Amino acid sequence: MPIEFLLSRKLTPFGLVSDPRIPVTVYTHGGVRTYRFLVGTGADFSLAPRRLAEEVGLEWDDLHEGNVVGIERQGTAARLGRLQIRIGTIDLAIRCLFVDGPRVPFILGRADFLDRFVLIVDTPGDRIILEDVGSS
Amino acid sequence: MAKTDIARSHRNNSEESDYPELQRRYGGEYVARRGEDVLANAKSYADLSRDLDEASMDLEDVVIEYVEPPGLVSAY
Repeated sequence: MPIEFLLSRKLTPFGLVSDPRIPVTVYTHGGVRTYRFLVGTGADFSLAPRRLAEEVGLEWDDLHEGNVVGIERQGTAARLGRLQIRIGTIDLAIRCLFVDGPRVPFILGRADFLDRFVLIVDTPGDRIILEDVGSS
Repeated sequence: MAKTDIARSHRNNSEESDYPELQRRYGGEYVARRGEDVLANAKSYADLSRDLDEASMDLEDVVIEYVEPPGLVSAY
């Protein structure tokens, strides 16, 4: 059954734009925490700050090193780990790049997340809809 | 498409309703909030998380997020 979220708007220097963020539950050492992740269909993999990797019990030095690039193309060092999350009542594990730096956003990328859900961003209706299609 | 599960939806949460105001006050920071009440904020997620741990705060219904600065355009 689809899960529906409110679609918010955010300020930019050029006006308001839709801002598709959804609550994602993560099981950390400190207990269950909920984060608002940006649904980033342009991102290959999910992204989160390094600290979250440590809070879910991942050993930083054991994670595979990689490089993540944005529009600047210069790249930032990142490490890939598996993050167990819950969206609505659905549990899934996603591959997530963890970045040790300032202002790292929480982003849900395509890998694993969009393998599992059909995504509808209904801006006129102010809603985000996820339909679970199961794991392939 | 099947009927949307409104019971499990988050449409009644007010937390997303005033994001521009959150940006004006906390842009570029990480916040923990319950509804529209910001319980903690910090420049880094590590600092915010540490503060939450030290406060032994009940995190039920608390949402943690990075707040986009209002003066930036993102191209993630």
